[in-house]
Amino acid sequence: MKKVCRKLLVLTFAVIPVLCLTVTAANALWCALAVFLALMLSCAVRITDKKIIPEKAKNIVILIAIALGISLIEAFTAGRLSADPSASVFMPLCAVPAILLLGQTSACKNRKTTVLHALVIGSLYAALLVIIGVIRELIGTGRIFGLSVTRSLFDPIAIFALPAGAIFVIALFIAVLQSIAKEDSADA
Amino acid sequence: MREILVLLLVCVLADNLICFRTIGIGNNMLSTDTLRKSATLGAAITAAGILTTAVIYPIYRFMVIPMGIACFKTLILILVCGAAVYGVGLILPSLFGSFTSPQGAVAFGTIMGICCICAERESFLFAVLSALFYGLGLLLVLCIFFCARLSVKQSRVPKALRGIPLDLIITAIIAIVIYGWQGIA
Repeated sequence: MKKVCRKLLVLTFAVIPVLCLTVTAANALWCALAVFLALMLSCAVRITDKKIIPEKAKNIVILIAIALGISLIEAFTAGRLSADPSASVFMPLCAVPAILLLGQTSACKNRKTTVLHALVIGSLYAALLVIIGVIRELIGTGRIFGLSVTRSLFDPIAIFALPAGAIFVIALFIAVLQSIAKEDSADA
Repeated sequence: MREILVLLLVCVLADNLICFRTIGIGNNMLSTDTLRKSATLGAAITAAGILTTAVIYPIYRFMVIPMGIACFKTLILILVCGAAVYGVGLILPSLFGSFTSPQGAVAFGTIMGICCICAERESFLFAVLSALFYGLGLLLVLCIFFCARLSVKQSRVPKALRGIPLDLIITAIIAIVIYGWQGIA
């Protein structure tokens, strides 16, 4: 449990650079897909043989792979990031979590475990991002993926749709994970 | 002159990079051991942001948009910002190493955020000035954050909130305070 919480803490930290893209669950989903694709492509570059991509050129090729992954999703989402028109401007920021997550896979010994690790990390990260998007959209506007859910039950708390709300959500998320990790270590 | 003053107020306060766009929040937590380090980090990001905007803006306006190659927009942005972070990393290695380190990646994201916003401006001068003012706004929040962090350091805080959660809550409170300036936008 402690290990899972530690992993989640690292992933949560990687969410911070793309908080501006989690205003709605749909935006968060597209952002998660972009990060996942960029991570898998950059991971493929990392495990490529030295003879094909020299070690010195790997960082640049990784950047190109990340840009390619994001561009593909960006082209697909053109005009679909509707809730906040400025959100599409910040799609390139998905490169930051991809770089941070790629750093997590560097400890793996062989190619197979590296790919598996990247797959697990990428999926967990995508899930985390969508959860944060859902929480923000649900509390901030009373909707999920644009569908009205809790608007009849309580008035939306608008601050959660604002940047400060995003920071509060992520702070509480990390606090809960930290307390679980610390409880676990105390039990052991 | 009036337009520049309005731009200054909007970029530094009403549309602050950290408080209103949530870009560059990680800088608060990663590199703020001393006020001098916070200020150096803010200044380095400002300088890199201005340089990358000055490079990217003409490429966007005179190549990407007229030639209809919008699909290369992200690639150009990522490569130029990566080069900027690499350059700053060579000059100030203690600030952030390569862009693959956490500090480097966060700074890379911040510089990219500045470029994303400034590339949308209507003229080159306004784009470069916006980059400068956004950088100053970042510098201001990093310094406020450092002072707030110092005053909280002596307080008793629940164990779960120590570290990153507390840093984020401080940032959120500063964001709410600065959000009040939205009206002037």
